[in-house]
Amino acid sequence: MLEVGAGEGRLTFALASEARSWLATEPKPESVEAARQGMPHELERTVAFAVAGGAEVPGSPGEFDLAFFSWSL
Amino acid sequence: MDPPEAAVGVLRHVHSLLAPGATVLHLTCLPVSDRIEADGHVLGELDQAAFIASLPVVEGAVDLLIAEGFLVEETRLEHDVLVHFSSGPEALAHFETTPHTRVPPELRVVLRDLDRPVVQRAGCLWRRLRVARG
Repeated sequence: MLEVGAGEGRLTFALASEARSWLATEPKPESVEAARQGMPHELERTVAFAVAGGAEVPGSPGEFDLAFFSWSL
Repeated sequence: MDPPEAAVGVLRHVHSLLAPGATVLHLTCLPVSDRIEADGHVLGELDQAAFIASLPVVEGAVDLLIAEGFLVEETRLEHDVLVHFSSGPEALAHFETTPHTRVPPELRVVLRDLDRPVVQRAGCLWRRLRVARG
């Protein structure tokens, strides 16, 4: 699962428990830091955050089954 | 109007990372100003003309990849998203730091002294798309 524009993780934390793995990307480092600080313990093995703009999202071809844009395009 | 190059570039890059048949969920705002409510009554609307002006072209980026055959649209759902504030001043402080958003003077006066919960109602659009196979 790939989330583009995760902000401080509000939707990430609400939805990620349904996923096997979740990469949440966000271009603002301060938002990513806030999200990491606020990460629920039970999601630590599922969710990874990365500082990246939408055009620099890390990954390999065909890696993700689902992409999620929330007010981020 | 052509969709913005940056949005198209993001979509093309993300598309390259998705498996054939993968799902794309796109949540965006409808081109209407957010309504501000208290106790079920409308207090006024935010002035979001600058923000609204950018929306159709962003949606156009999704439409372009559909037209090119990279994505297939499966569902469109319009709905409201509510943002809750404990008081008028709290809502006002939030709106004043929201990009491309202006609080009209008459709404500012109402919110400044309102000691009740306030709701921001935004019209949103969900689109569920599928990465085309082959």
